[in-house]
Amino acid sequence: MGSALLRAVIAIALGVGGAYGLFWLGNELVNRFAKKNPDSVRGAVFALPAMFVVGFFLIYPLFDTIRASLFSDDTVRGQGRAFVGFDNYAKVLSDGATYAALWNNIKWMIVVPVGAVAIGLLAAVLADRLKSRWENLSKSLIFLPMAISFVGASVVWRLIYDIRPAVENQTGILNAIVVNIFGLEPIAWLEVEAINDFALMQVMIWLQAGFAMVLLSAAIKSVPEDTLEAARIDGATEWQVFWRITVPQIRSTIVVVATTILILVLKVFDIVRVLGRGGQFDTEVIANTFYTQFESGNPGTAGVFVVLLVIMTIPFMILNIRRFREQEELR
Amino acid sequence: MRTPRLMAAAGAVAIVAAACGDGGSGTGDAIDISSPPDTSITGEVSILHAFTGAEDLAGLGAMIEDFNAMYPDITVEEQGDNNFESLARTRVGSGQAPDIIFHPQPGLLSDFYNDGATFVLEPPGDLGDRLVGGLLELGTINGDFTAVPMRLSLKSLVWYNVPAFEAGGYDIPVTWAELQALTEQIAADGDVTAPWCIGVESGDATGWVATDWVEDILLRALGPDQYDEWVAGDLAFSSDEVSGAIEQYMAPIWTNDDYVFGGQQNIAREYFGTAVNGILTGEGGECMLHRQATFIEGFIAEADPDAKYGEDYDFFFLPEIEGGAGGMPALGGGDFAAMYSDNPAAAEFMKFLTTAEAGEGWGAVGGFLSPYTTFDSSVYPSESTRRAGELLSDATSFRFDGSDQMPADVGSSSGAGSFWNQMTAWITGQTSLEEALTAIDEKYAEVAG
Repeated sequence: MGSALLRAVIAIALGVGGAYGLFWLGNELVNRFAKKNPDSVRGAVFALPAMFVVGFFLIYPLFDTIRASLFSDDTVRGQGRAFVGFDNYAKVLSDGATYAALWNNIKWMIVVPVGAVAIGLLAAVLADRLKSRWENLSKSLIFLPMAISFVGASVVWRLIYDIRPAVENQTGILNAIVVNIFGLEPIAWLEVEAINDFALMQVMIWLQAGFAMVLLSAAIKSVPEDTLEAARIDGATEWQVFWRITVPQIRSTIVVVATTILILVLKVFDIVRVLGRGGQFDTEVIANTFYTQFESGNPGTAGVFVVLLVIMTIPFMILNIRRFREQEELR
Repeated sequence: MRTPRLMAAAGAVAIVAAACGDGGSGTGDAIDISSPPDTSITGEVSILHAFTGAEDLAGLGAMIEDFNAMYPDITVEEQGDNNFESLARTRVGSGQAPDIIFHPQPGLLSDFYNDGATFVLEPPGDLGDRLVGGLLELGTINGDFTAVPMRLSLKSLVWYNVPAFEAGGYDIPVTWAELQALTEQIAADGDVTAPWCIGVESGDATGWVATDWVEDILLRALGPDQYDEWVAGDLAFSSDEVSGAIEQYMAPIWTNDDYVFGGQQNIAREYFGTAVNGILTGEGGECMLHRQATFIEGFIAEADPDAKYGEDYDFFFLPEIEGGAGGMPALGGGDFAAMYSDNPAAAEFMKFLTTAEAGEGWGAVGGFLSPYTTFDSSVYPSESTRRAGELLSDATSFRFDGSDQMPADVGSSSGAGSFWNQMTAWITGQTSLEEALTAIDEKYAEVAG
């Protein structure tokens, strides 16, 4: 325990210190050697480490994954993996299970961003009306789950969703309420296919609502007070002020927050792994299928699922970057 | 393929990109581990394994200590990991394989063999005679001997509560019909809520307990030869033999709400490690019987440190199915050591493992059954282990966990259509037994074809 803590402290010190040192060194070198145009050289020097890291740890693996997806899952001793072209793609795309996973992904993509933004927006608007002490407290509480890892949150929610045989006491808080207060039979939240997807998505909303709230709250605060004032003087109700004045002015932030969460949702894996028992009970999603295939020693098929995921992510990345640029131009 | 030119171009790019393929290091001459030990060898041996529990690590430590007593100049570096499978694949795939891997499942071993990473071994000539029957063949792929069994577990056991069992005046069943009658009797007497406690929940491995039940039943109903055919994919899950046996022997217990504590629906929700706790509740408690491997004794000790083997709990051998193949076949699991480098020090460690004495250190710690029939059972720390060891060597035949031998997509995956997945789907009522078995067949055909 002590040594783990020590290691963590050293890792943080090295990480932060290393990054600081790297930029300090780059800065010193530029000051010393770049007499002409020091500012543009400095920009290049500062961008270089990040570009190298992205290239080496993101771009190279991506191409290697595409390569892997074109090779067979099985090997023959002494021959290695055979080049099979698009056979793995044909296999994956003709499998009904792939579409079941895709359908689950689509459900996640609709419910989670909408849910997180709606709750985040509600919290931001309501907190904005509190005295600053209470505003900070309530915002901190909603933001708190952000600090929990997906796996950690899944384990917490697993205890909440727990179900025991009807003859025993319920240990999960939800079923304890269902049984003791409403007098109903305990509900298998994680098994019943009509509700288990939502039980899983809810965890992600719980984690991300805080993130949405913080960004939206900042956007709401930057809405000029005089536009709100003018609307109120013209006799607009608070409801109208919110929908007609505030929301249009923070629309680009809403889109950026929603697409950021959307991209996160596409990668969802941990929650399904833990709460969906590895994608059982029809909770399968693409990212989990990839992991399962990789674990089963099928690098080719696993590669296909990664490529699928990348293709699904690209439109939202483009949308997000475009919105981000628009915002930058406005500044 | 419709687009040969595009394909060829893509292929060329891909081959260029595949700068460093695997070297096929293990495809050369066999490594001799039959010669007498050379204790003067110096060097280092790295071992990767899946042991993470305190008892297992203590046992492994004792084994390495015994090795070092013989070979003082060889340093053994062992590394265990919770995520053993991924780590092993990554390390072997990237050319950073350890010298030796202790495989808990033969599936990964055969993958690595096919990759050309596993070295072929030349074992001592009498190894097969000293091992529990069938183990030498399990370590042999395409006629190449690749892995030395180092530890076994026995799965065909039914654990029960002794005082409650005696108070009920029950007898240990020796045939399946007697087991079925006992189940009915316990349910009728009502001293416990239900005769059986069954739990298959195991995170993303949920369902594996059900596959063990199926294996034990098939081994008894069809016999070892047909069992092997089934494992190899030559006898379909949906065949009359297999589905009939599940229908006749497993379903009557599993799908009867009066026979399973919490009812059929509770099976998939009950964690396999705590399901056994039900038998510890005794008279007026949850249940009387629980079928599980030898390892469950560790969970019993955790749940109730005061529970004593022989007084509070005991086990009997899962009964024979009369009218089936006959005999008392044992289902088990085990760990196999395979080599991934030609390090001479590692070869000495493998030589060490081919002796029954190698297991004495670990055997004394516990959680260990020796794969050798010549093993000195007085070493075992408890009466229960000694008895499990006897049952193992008295069994008419030994078969390894079938799902662990099937391709990973079929036998050890949570993915759609896998054995685990479909058994869970069946027991929770998502699919019928017939649909579940057909889905596994389809998966198997897809993987094999």
